[in-house]
Amino acid sequence: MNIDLRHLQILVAVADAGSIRGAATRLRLAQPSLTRQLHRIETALGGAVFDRTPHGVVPTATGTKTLDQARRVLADLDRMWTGAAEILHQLPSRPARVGGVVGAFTDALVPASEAVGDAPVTSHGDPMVSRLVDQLAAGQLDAAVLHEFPGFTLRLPPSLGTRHLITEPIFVGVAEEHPLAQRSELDLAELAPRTWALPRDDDGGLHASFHRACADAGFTARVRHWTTDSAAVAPLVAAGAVCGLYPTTYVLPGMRAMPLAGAPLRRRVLLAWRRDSFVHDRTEEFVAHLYRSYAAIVRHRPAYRDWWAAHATHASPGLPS
Amino acid sequence: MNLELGHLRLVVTVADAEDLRTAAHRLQISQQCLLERLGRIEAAFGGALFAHGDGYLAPTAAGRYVVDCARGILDTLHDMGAHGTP
Repeated sequence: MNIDLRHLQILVAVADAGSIRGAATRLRLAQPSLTRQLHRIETALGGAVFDRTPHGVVPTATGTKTLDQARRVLADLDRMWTGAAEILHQLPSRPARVGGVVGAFTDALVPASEAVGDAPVTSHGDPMVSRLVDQLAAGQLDAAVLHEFPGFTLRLPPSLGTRHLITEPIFVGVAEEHPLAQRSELDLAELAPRTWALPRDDDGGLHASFHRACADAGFTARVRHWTTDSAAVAPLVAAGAVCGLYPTTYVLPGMRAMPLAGAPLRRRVLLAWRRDSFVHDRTEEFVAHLYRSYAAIVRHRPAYRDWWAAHATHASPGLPS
Repeated sequence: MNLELGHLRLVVTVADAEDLRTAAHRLQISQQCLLERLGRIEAAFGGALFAHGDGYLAPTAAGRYVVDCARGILDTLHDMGAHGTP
């Protein structure tokens, strides 16, 4: 016979009653039946739990330990029932709030939050990293995807948990019909004669790091157009006159994503979260969800997929190959 | 329903398995049987312990709590069985 939960109830009832007769009354069992059961339980446990005396039963030395453990199990069971009932009947919890800068990891936040947390999810996109950090610090966001560009290191409050998710190359977008679109990669230097469309400046260092990369390539970029965000660059680029930065994980109409030799434009993508949020208890699981979503997106972006295949050493350790 | 150790083992096994098939295989019962038993356990608790997806089962908040408690209980019982047994 294997010990099961009801056997522990019997042991504790006998100990509490101090006699088999008393316990039999409480358990509504016939005394001979309880005597037999108790014997089987003691056999299963490998030794006597009680010494029988003329005045009743007294726990043996090992029996005292067994009874402590049995009481602990019964208390845990009680806690399990009441705790589960509380969770099942409590009011809906407040929503999980996530946010981030434009990109595939931000897109992955909602499904990951739904998978890991239990609350409904709201999401808040914002191009301004400092605003996202402020909202995290103020408890208005639980987790956010942030980015930083080379030379612009983010300063985050130590109260936040952080994780480097990936260092992502930024591609250049050219019109699909343009001869440059036939190439597998471009040198930034050969784009010197062209005019550029850029998303409106953010506070993560995008523009400064772009201009620095152009300076390193030996030219000053002629920026003529400023758009609300990187996706709004597409119609200008598709018209053929300009080229623009290409958000690596997106597909934009009329535009081809062109990798740059040596990946001079790149951003570090980070996850930051509050330590009192649902992410903190289940960070690994949450990050694994993010990577799975990200990998699925990469597979559907031919230019990016090929780039990863050729630059495996750049891959973040968590990214499934 | 009288809760038995088998029920606790079932919820822990389901939580540890990545999908329904693995859980059923580890418990050596059919998936149908696993879902029926789980349904009875959930009815006893008065709510879902697992979110039923396409071939997998993800614990709910209540489910995670129950699984945590169940692990503690199974550990204690394992200790009890271990001492003094020939």
